[in-house]
Amino acid sequence: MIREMFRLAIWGLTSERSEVVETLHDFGLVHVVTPAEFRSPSEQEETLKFTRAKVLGMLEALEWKDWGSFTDEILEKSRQKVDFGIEGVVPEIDRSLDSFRERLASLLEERRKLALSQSELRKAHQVVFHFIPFVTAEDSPEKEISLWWVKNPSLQKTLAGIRAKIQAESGETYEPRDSLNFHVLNMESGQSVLGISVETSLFEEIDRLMRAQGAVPWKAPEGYNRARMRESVLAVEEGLREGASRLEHLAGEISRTREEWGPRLASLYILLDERLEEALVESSSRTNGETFLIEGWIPSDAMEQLLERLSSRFGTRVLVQWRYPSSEEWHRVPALLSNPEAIRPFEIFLRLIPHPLYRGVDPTALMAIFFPFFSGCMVGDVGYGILIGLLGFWLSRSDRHPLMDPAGKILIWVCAWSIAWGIAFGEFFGDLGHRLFHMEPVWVERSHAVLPVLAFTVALGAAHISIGLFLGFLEGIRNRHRHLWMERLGTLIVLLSLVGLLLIVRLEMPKAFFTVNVSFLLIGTALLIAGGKIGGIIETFSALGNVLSYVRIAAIGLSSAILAVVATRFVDVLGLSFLGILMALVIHLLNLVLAIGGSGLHSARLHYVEFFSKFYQGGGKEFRPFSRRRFSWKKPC
Amino acid sequence: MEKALLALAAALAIGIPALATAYAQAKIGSAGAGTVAEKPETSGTMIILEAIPETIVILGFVVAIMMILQLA
Repeated sequence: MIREMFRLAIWGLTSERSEVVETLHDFGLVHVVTPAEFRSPSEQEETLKFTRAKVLGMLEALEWKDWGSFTDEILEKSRQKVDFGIEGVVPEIDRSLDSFRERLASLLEERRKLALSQSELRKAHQVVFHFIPFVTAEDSPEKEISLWWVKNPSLQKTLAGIRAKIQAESGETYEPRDSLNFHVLNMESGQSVLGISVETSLFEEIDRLMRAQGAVPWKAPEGYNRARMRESVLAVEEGLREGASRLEHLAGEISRTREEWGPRLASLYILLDERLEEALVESSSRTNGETFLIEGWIPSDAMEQLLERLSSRFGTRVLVQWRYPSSEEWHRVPALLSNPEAIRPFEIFLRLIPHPLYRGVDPTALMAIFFPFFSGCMVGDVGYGILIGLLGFWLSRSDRHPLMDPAGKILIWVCAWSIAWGIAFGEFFGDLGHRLFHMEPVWVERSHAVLPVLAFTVALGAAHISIGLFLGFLEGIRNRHRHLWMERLGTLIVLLSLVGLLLIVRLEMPKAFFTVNVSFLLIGTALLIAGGKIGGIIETFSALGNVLSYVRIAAIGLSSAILAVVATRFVDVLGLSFLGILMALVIHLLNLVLAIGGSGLHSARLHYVEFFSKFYQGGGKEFRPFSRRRFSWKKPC
Repeated sequence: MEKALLALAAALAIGIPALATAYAQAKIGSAGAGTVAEKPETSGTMIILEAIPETIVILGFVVAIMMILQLA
């Protein structure tokens, strides 16, 4: 249901405005109305916004994400420590934050540079690692070792060129292979790293030759280049080890800072956010010299508490006026849903559609009745129902996401109806119940008796749509919308008359019933034309289509039942073997996933498209109380 | 022959709507993916929109079942 609202006006002394706003903030049940005209933000608001953004930036730099563990107690302790009322406290906080930010930035910068350097060293190490034995074996004062990037196709040509050069320089006739030691590492990029070791006297010539052939010398990253290749290689290895150790140390230091400062900064962020909200309300209140005025909406049943709280703190220095909203104001009144604990989880379905109007219908209770009923009818299996219940129980206990709790509770409702329908259809993991425990259907076995289930779902659709049309009719009357109530009533009468005609023909009832029914049909058509003209006739056809759409409950249920039977048949075909049982389990799992997803989706769709279109009016304002952050608080957007 | 024609009709009754639904869902899915990328809060609505064309294949399925029952 939607809670009744009062229009509220609070007058007080401008000197006490901050205290009154603070009291309203603590009270947390007033939807404050801010003037529509543009107002440039005050200097205090700008400072608060800037400091808040700075704190959030630091939290993100610290990678602190533990908003879920934040409790009211932590927040209350911080609230007692920080008094925003003291002049200049925000700039003081800002200065402390700047000092802390500098230290944090220096840590993060060092980590960034080190990570970059480590990345370069790791790339170099990929080469170095392969050349360590070669470089160690060849290292001597008479020899010069060098590494070169060479394109794969020209590798052999390069080697032949070096050999020819060595032969020409030495003037000897021995096999040049003996004077040239080399090692090749093939890289993925179509290049190779060629390590060559030649006599020191020949190095300059070889260097010229290599460059002339397009080879590029390989060098250790900056800061790790040494005079001899062996030293460079060892420096890269050492650098990698030291860097990893320093990175680990930095990560530990940042982690400690995060654990120590994350909750403090987060609570500061929330307090700044709350103070900013108060500042916005203060500056948007109408001030007239010595007095101010704050306007808003409050649930009628909370009025008494507010009066008590204001009078206990301010006595007669605050004047409060309230009244019921006029019919011209209805579209501006925020709608606050208020449902019993058991059906409150179903309110999440209304988040996907525009918020209901203040004088509209809250369909949560109807969804709580029909959604699990339809879903359960589609699943219709005791075994699957139990598994859905277990899943729902687990979800409702989990606090990883705010939606998990309501989703879990909805699944528990679906579980109850799935088990009930499973008993009606005699299904326990398909026909496994029948095989093991001789389970028999209380009503029909839906995989064999298709037509009764189809007829039942169409009847269910007719009943559901009729309820929707009746609610639409009541809405029209309540909002004095003549066309709406006539059209809805006309459609309802025509729909029920058609159902009546069908029953009369089917049950061969006396002719008098036929005459009465046709009379109702004519009355309904007249109302339809009076209410919606040609559009009204089209609306009736649309309603008939909507009724037929409910046949999906039987169709999806039938496919689910057949798939469950197929899963069990795998054991018949493959025998009571590992493969047979595995296949049966896999198909049952697939069927369970399809049952949860398909039944939920189609049940929701039947409500949104078929049912709500008959009465639901969205476009209302959501009730947003001016309240402090509570433990439901999560990461800021 | 009559049985074969009934079986063919049942196959067509579900096959053609299935193809039409697949086509519609592909179009809605690609548009929906773009919308969700821009506005993640519309994901719920998009799931519902994605399920809307399934009505046609479900009705086709029912017609096919009724034909198959005649065969039996």
